Amino acid sequence: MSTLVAQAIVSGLLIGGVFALIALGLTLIFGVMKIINFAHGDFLMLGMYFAFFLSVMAGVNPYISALLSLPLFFALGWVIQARLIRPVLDAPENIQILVTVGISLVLQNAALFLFSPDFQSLRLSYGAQTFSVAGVAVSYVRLIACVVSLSTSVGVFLFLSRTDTGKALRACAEQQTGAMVVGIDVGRMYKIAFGLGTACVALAGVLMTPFFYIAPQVGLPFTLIAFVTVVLGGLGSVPGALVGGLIIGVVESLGEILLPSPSMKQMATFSVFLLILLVRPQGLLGGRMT
Amino acid sequence: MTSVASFITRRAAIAGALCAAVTTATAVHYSTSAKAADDIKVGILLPLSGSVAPIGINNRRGHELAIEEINAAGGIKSLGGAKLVMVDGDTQGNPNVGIQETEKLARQGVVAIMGAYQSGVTFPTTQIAEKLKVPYIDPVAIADSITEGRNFKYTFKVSPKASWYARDQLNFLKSIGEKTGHPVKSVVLMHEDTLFGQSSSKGQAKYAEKLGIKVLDKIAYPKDTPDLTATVSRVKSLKPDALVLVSYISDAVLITKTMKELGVNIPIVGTSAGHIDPAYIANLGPLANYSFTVGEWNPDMKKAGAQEINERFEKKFGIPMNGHAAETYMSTMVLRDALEKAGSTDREKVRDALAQTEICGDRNILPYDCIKFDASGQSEQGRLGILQVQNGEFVSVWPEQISPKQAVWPVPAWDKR
Amino acid sequence: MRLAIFLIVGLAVLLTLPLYAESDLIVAIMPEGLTGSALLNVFLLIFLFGYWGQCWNILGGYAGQLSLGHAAYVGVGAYTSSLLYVNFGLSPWIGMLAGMGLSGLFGFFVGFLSFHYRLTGPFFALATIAFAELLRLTILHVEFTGGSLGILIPLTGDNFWDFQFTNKAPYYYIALAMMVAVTAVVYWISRSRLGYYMHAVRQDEQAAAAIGIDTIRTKLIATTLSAALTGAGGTFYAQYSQYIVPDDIITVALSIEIILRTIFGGSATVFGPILGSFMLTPVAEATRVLFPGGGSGTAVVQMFASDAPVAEKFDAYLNFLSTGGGGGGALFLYGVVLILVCINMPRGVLPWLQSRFGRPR
Repeated sequence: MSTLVAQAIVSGLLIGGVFALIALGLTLIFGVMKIINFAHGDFLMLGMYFAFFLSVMAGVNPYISALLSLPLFFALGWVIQARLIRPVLDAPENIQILVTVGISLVLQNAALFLFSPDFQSLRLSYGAQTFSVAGVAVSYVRLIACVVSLSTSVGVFLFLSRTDTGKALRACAEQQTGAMVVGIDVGRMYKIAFGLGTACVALAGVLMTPFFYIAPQVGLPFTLIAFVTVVLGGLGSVPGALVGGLIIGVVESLGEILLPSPSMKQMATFSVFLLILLVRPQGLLGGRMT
Repeated sequence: MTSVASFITRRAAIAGALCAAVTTATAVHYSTSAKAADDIKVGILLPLSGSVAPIGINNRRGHELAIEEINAAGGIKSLGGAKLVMVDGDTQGNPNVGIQETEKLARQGVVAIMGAYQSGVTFPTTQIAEKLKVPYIDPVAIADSITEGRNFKYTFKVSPKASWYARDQLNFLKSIGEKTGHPVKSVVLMHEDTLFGQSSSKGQAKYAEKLGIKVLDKIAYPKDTPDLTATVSRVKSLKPDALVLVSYISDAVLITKTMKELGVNIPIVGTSAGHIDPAYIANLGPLANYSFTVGEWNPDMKKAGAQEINERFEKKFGIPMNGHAAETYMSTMVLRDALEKAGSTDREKVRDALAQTEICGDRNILPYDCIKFDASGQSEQGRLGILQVQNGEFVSVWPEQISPKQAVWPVPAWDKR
Repeated sequence: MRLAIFLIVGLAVLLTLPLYAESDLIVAIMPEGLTGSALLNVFLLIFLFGYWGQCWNILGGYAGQLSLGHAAYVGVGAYTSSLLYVNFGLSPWIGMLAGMGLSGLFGFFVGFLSFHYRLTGPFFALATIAFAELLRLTILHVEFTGGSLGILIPLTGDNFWDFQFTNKAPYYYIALAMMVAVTAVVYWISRSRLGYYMHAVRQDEQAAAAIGIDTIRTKLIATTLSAALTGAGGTFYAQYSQYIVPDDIITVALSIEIILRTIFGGSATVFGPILGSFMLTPVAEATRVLFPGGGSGTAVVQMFASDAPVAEKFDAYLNFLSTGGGGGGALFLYGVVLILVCINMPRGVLPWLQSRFGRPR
C-alpha cells in the first residue's frame, strides 16, 4: 500500500510541475490584466501541434522545439494582446471574458479544421522508458517535463524580481495607477505579460508531447486546472503557481487511489478549489486580494 | 476610432456580406442535393464532427461501400432498380443534436435510419424514431438498454449486446487459460466513466461471476485525463491474471503506455472502441503488441467474401475495413434485403420485412451464422471474435473455427519483448 | 412609436407562425429543410435561450455578478422534474415548480457561500464554475440519477398533463410564453426598488453599502430568483428533448451559451437578451448547416511523415482542406463573430443601436 501511495505522490509531483508552468502563464496574465483567459489551454494545444509537426515533418526533437517555441509564442501572445485584448480592457468584465471565449473557439476550431479531430501522438524511442527509485517508477520524459517546467518557473521568478522589466510588470499588477504615475508604459507591460504567459503555457504543451496525446480539444481541462492552481497558489504569485501546481498534481493523483472511484478525482480538485476560494481567496502564498 | 459614419458603413457592409454569403451558401448547399425521382433515401445518423468524428466517418464508409455495390448491381430490383441514396444526419456526438437530426431525417422522407455509433446517442434517438414510426437499424452501438425492456417495434439492432462483449471476452479468457495451462483465475475491470464503460463493465462482472473468475476490483476512471499512473499502479498491486479494459482511444493509448512505464506485466483485454482503433497501433508502435481486444470482425476471419470485401474497401478508402465498417456494411445489406422483400418504400412494410430478416452463412461476413432479430429487435445470434495485435497488426485468434492464427498466451513481459 | 409597431407586428408573426410554417410561402423563401417543424425548432431555441438569457440577466446583467455556472440550475430543474415524473408519475408541471424551488435553493446556497465570503468579480465567476462542475460530477456518480446513462422520458404521446406533445406547436407556444413572461418580470424588476438596488450594487458595491443598501440581501435575491427561473427552463428542456444527461446539460459550454446571447444583445437591458437570441441562434444553426463534419487527418499525417516530395505533400494537404478539412468551420465562425462584436460593440448590440438611433434613456 505504501508503495502505491509513494507512486501516486511521485507521479502527482511530476505532472504537478507541468501544471505549475501552465498556471504560471495564467497567473502572469490574470495578475497583471485581471482577465480570465479562457483560451489559455488552447495555447497549450498550439504548442503541442507545433512540436508535433516539427517532429513529424522535419524530425526535430521536441526539446529543441521547446526552445524554438519560446520566441514564437511570445510574439503570438504579444500580437493577440495588442489586437484583441487591448480594445476590450475598458469594457465590462463580461466582455473581456467573452473575447477570450471567442479566441478559444477560433483556436480550437482552426486546429480542428487544419489538423482534424484525430488525435496524434509522438512516438519516441525513449517515450515510455522509466527508471526505478525505491520501488517507484519514474518516467524519463515526465521527469524532464517537470524539471524544465520548474526551472522555467524559477527563471521567470528571477526575471520578475531582478530585472527592471520584471519589476515594472509587478508594479502594474499591484497598483496600475501608481505604475502609470511613475512612467511605466502599462500598455507595453500588458503585451509583455500576455506574451510571456502564452510562451509559458505553449512550452508546457511542447514538453508534454512525448507523453500526452495531441488533439484540438485538449485545452479546456488544462484551462480549468490552471485556474484552480492559480487561485490555490495566489493570484499573481509565481511561487504560488509553483506550489499550487505541485499540490494539485498530488491531490488529483492521491484522489485517484483514495476516493471510491478515480473517476471522482476531479471532485477532489474542485472541492479544494472551492475551499480555498471561500476560506482564503488570496491563496496560500498570495499577496494582495483583489 | 474612425468616425461613426464609416464605422456603420463598414459594419453594415460586413454584416450584409455575411448574410448574403450565408443565405447563398445555404441555398447552394441544399439545391445541389437534388435527387433523381425514384431514388430511395436512407438516413445515416452518425457523429461526423466533434471528437469522435473519425470513428463516425469510418462507420459511414461501410454504408457508402455497400450502397455503391448495391447500386452498381442494379439497385433494388423489386422497386424497378431504384437506387439508394445516403442522407447524412450529423449528431456531433451529442444526444440532443442527434434527436433533432433524427427528426430532420424523418421529415426528409428517409425509408429508414441507420445509426448512431454511440450508445448514448442511439438510446434516445431510437425512441424518437419509434414515435415517428421510422425503422431504425443500429449497426454498432452496443448498450443492452437499447433493446432491453423497451418493447420497440421499429428498432433493429444488428450489433451484439454490450453484455455479450463481456460474455465472449470472459469465455475467451477461460478457454485460453484452460487450453494453455495458464488459467485466468482473477481479473481487474477498469472502465471509462460514461455509458459505454459503465454498461460494459456491469456485463463483465456478471459473466466473470458466472464463469468462476474472481473480480478483484472494478475501477471507473475519468475519460480523457492526462495521467493515470496512480490507478495503473494500483492495478499492478492487485496482481490480476488479466486486465479487462473499456476505453476510447486516447485512454487506451495512455493506459498501455503507463503500463509499460510501470512495468505492469498483465495481459490487456480491451473492449473494442479504443483498443480496436487502428490509431491504437499507429500511436503505440511495438508497445501495442500482444494486446487483446474483443472484435466485431477482422479481414482475416475465415468467412466467405471477407477478404474480397476488405480489398474493395481498402481500394476505395485507402485503409483496411474494421469491425465497425463491417457492421455498417452488413446492416446496409439487411436494409437492402428488407426493401427487396417489401417491394415498397412504405415504412410499415419495410419494418415488417426487417422483422423477417434472415441473412446466413456465406452471405454474412460477421463472425456468426445468421443475422436474425428476436422480438425485442436484437440480433439474437450475435457474437464477437477476439483479436490480438501481433507484429503490428490485428489478427483473429478466437473462436478457433474462424481464426487463422493462435493467440500468444501467456503474454511476454515488457522487458522481454 | 415605431418600436411599438415593430414589436406588435413581430409578436403577431411569432404567434401565428405555427399556422403557416408548412405553407408554400415559407417553403419558397426558406432553404430546404428549414421549413415546418425544423423552422419551429429554430424559433423554439431562440425563445428558450432568450428565456435563459433573461434569467441570467437578472443576476449577471442587472446585479452585475458574473455567473458562469448557470447550467447547474438548468440541471437541477431538469433532473428534479424528470426524476419526480419517472419515479412517481408526478406531472412535470408540478415538477417544474418543485424544480424551481430546488434550483432556487441551490442558487441561494451558491450565493450565500460566495457572498458571505465576499467573492466578487472573477472569483465569484470561478466559484460558480466549481459549483456547477461539482454538481455535474455528483450526478454522474450517483445511481439514483441514472449516472451517465441519463434519464429518458418515456413516450406517452400527446398529453398536456404529462407535458408531452407529438407536435412541435405546443412546445413553441410554451417557450414563447415563458420568454414573454420572464421579460415582463425583468421589466418589472428594472423599474422597482429592487432594480435600483441591483443597479447600485452593480455600479459600485462599496458605495451602495455606504448609503445603506443591504448589498448581500440584494445579491442573494438576484441569485435565487435567477436560479429558480433558470430551473423552470430546465424542466422545459427535459420535456422537449425527452432525454437529459449530465455531460450534455451541466456543462461550461451551456453556461457560456446562456450568457452569450445576453451579453451580445446587451446585458442589463430589458430586450437585450431577446435581441441577442434572435440574432445569434440563427447564426449558430446556419453555420452548423453550412459547415458539415470533417475528414480524418491520420492519413494526411502519415503522408507528412513519409518521404514523399514536398510538392506532393502540399498537394495532398490542400486536397484535405478543400474537402472540409477536419471540420469545425461552424464554431470557428461563431468565435470570429463573438470577437468582432466584443471589440466593436462592448455594451452589446441593443445599447449600440440605441445610441445610434434611439432617444436618450
